[in-house]
Formats: sequence, structure tokens, C-alpha cells
Amino acid sequence: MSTNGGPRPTSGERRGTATSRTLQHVGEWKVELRAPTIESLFGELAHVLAEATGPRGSPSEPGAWERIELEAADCPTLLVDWANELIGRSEVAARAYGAVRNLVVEASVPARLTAEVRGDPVDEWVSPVKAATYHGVVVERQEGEWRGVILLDV
Amino acid sequence: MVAVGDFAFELPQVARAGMRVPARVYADETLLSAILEGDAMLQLANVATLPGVFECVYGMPDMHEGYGFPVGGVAATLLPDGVVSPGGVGFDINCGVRLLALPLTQSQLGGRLESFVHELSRSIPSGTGHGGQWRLSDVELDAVLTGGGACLVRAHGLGLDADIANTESCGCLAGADPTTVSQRAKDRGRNQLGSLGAGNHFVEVQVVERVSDDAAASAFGLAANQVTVLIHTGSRGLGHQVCTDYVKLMDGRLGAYGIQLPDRQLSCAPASSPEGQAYLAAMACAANFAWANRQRIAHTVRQTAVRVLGVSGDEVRMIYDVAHNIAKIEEHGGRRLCVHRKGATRAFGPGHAEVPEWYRSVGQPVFIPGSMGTASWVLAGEKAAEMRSWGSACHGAGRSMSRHAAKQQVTGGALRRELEAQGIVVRCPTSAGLAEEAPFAYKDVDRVAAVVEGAGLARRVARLRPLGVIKG
Repeated sequence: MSTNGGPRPTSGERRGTATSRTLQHVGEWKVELRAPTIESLFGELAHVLAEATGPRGSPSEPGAWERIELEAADCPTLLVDWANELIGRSEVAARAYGAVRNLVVEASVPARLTAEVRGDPVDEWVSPVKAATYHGVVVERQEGEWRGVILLDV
Repeated sequence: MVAVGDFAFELPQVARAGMRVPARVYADETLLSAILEGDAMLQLANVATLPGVFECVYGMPDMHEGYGFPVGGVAATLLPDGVVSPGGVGFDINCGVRLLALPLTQSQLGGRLESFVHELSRSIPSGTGHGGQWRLSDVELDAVLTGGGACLVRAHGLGLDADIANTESCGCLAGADPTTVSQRAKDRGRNQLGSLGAGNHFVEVQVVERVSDDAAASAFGLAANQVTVLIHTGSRGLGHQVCTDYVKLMDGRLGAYGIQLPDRQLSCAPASSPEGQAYLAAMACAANFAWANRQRIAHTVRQTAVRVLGVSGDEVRMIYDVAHNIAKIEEHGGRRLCVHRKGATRAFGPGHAEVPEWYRSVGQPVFIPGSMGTASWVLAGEKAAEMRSWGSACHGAGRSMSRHAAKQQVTGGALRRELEAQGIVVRCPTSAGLAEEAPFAYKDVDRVAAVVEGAGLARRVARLRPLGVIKG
């Protein structure tokens, strides 16, 4: 079921069990995320994007922690903006931003996110991801956990 | 869906609340059932709700589900106040195809095929984040954004004047304003000029397997057994970021313009509004960057052909370069329209003033790339297309299977062996990337090309068979 899933840290500390899997879409990459907290849901997306970027060796030259602050009309919009922030930052720096710490998401209206992210060097770029879309984006609380769905243009 | 002619089916305007015009699809029964399997038709109906949409929206025979617009969708809005939608162009602004003809037959190429493909793969960077070999300064980048392919030829000597004349819109959209392009977009594209990118982008070495229209083939300079090179790529990270920026901007302004949409990825603004004008200026920059990108790659192909095959660079002739993700201001029937082509190719017919003079008697060259194991088609635009599809035809075979499903059915290694058994030389940075583009993940390109001809959009000129593939 879980193609990218399994427990994984989103920062130096473990934020809980988050999973992700690919859903059916003929042209693009549709990802479903599940996590016990909204922070770990957003952290999981960062991890998925970083994994897609390409294999990373041990970061001999880890980047500096970079602060991100985002505000959006609602939580689904915030998820798309978060993805696009990481995709753009990653391509400019040629690094994978899978390391996230001090991630705080306010699921309010407007929704807000603050985080620190670190870009690590990528051995070989293979990511096909161009951007995240608003098409069918979902962030919802379901049966005691958070669920997100996001469509990435590849 | 109602049959409204040979290879044409229509969803009437009354079929769904909110549709302002009907939605017409060009297909045969087989392609229509593939189109109806996913959400592509629903998405085309959504496009028909856009404010200012004019007369009819069209689905090409290769149409499949996208996001917002379907891939293979064409929609025109009436200017000045009809909307422009960044999602109707897509993230890869001016993704397109360029065909070069080599002065060689397949037998003359002979055993040098593998070294030619290998050297091309070494010389043309691929992968989404992979840069080209040139990091542009701010001044150089702005010159590319405003000057397009011509800037590379005239300021840097990277090509021939004939390349410019044989590019749609001469490789440069007017109205490009670099100040409307974000710093992040510039930084994403700054070192990517001359690179392929990932996904379905490729450079393919081909042979003209057969000619179907001698007069048009002769006008295009194509002959049976001739070797060609097809380049498929776009505006890279710069274009992706321009679309990201303006979808977000317009999404936040929908309320201000009183626009309600069935899908947020259709976000749009009146073309005459400040947001619409800024997007058109930024999109023109990205389109020009894409034409410069394909120009830079074409120059690399020429240099490689000179080095490996011993031909003269002047003999590597550019047939044409067409965009298939773009919005253009065009005159149709005396009206000024903003024509969105999302995964669709312009296909102007004989006599059209925008077709280069030397092709004007036969119509604009149109390219339909198939999968790497099957074939691609060269077609010529038909006059009727201007009445039937805002002068558009399809842009490829169209996916029939997701990348994920394709990878579950075949490994990159197995596919590579299969292609090599057919004599096709393959170079691809990742095994998974190769599997995603497996021939069985695409519709039958021969059927698609036949339907395009049957629908009167463009007629078949030549079938090109792949000899070597460099995958992005």
C-alpha cells in the first residue's frame, strides 16, 4: 500500500507515523498522505518530494537551516503552497529539502505555517516534479488522523 | 455525447450547468471510449464555463485527464475581456517539438548510430533539476526572455537564421516583460538553457519510414529513408515557476472579478486586467525561453552531427518548431481571441500568413510524437482546422496508462532490452524513468494521426520510426 510510507522523522525528532502512497492518475503524480498530526502530514510531503529528487549520500555538506513562513486562505491551499515552496527552493539550490524542524501548522482561516528546512546535496537528480496543483487538493481530519491528497505535475 | 460529423462528438452546452459553450471532441469510437474513461471530458466541460469562452471548446484525439484543463484541450476567449488562464497553458509553458533533418539516409548513417546517440546523450543534460552548460547573467537572461531563439542565433551565433524563420512565431512572442517574471522563476531557469528536463521529454533520432504526401514532404524537405532528429522539451523550471506564481495570484483574485470556477486550477483573470496582462507578459518570457532552449539543443545536435557524422552544420536543416502548451492572441473570423492550447499544436492551413512562405502552399508542419518504440508523424495543417479547432491539432499519442501503472508492468531494464532488440539505441538517466514512458502506456499514434486527418485538422505527410532515444 505505502510506496513512500513508513515511519520516518521529519526533523531531528520523530513526529509520529506518517505514510504516503500514489493514487491513480493517468498523466500526473497524485499522492495521498496520512499522518497523526497536521505537522507530520506536511512533514511527510516534504519527505516525499525530497525522496523524488534523487538519491542522497551522507550529507558531507549539509545546508544551513532556512526559515519558511507561509500564509494561505485555507489548509489545502497551504499544502500546495508548501509543496511549491519546497519544489522551487530545491531546484534553485540543487538540494533536497527533506529535513524539517520546528514545523508548526495553524489549521485556521487563514492557515499559517512556520518551519525550518535544510537542503542536502543530491547525488543524482531524477525528480520529474514540476509543481503542485490546486486540482483536487484535500486536507481533512478523518477517523482520528489527518489525510491529504495533492496532485503534482510531472 | 452526440455525433456531429465524421470523427466529431459534442457535449451540448445544456448538458451541464455553467457551461457557456458546447464541448466538442475529435475522435473515433475507440479513442472516444479511452477519453471517456477518465475525467478528461468533465475537465473539458469545466473549461467551457470560463468567462468569455467563445463558440466552442475542443478536445483533440489524444485528449486525456490533466488538472484544470485536460491535456489536449483547446479553448478561445473573446478579447479584450475574456479570461486568460495559466492552467490552460500548463506549467511547462511552450513545451514543444522541433524537427531537424540530417543530410543522410539510414544506410549512410549505418553503424555510426550508436556513437551519434551516445554523444548526444553526453552533450545534452537531462533530468528536471539538471542545468545546462551555461549560467546566464541577469542581462543575458533578460535578453533571452525578450528575444527568444533569435537572441541565441543573432547575439551568440548558436544556430542559423533559417532556424528562426522555421519556428512558430519566429521563436519570439511579442510583449515579453522580464519584470513580470519572479526572481525565483529566473533563478530556476538561469542555468537550464540547453537542457531537456525529465518526464516525457526526449531527443529522438529517427528515419522517415514512409511518405504519405509527396508534395508536402517535398516542401518540408523530407524524403523516404532520411534521418531526422526530434527534440521535445519546454521552458524548464522558469516556465514551471511562472505558472505557479500566476495560478496562485489569480486564485486569490477570483473573488475580486466575480469569477466562480468548478476547479481552482482553472484560475484565471480577464486578459485585459492587470493580472491578465502581467501573466501574458510573463508567459511570453517563458515561451521565449523555451524556444531558446530548443534552439540551444538544436545547436548541440548540429555540433554533434558535424563531429560524429562528418556532415556540414548548414546541411542539418530545421524543418519546424511548434509549441503545444501556450496561449496566443490570434485573429479568427475577424475576431481577436486568446487561444489556449494545452497539449495541442497550432495547425494553420495552406495560405495562412503565419505559415512560412516556403510551406504556405501545403500548410504548417505539425508533429505528433508517438512513444519511443512506435513512431511519430509529420502532418500538414488544413484550412478547415481554422474553422474546426481554432487552427489546432493534437500534440502526441496521448497517455493511456499512468506512469505508476507502467512501472508496475515493466522494468526499465526489460524495456531497454526490448527496444534494443528492435534496433533502437536507448539512453536514459534512470531505469524507472524509462519504464514510465513504455510504448504500451500510450495510445496508438497511427490511429490518432488517422483521426486528425479524418477530422480535417491536418493531413499525414510522413511517418518517422525511432532509431535512437535520449530520454529526459
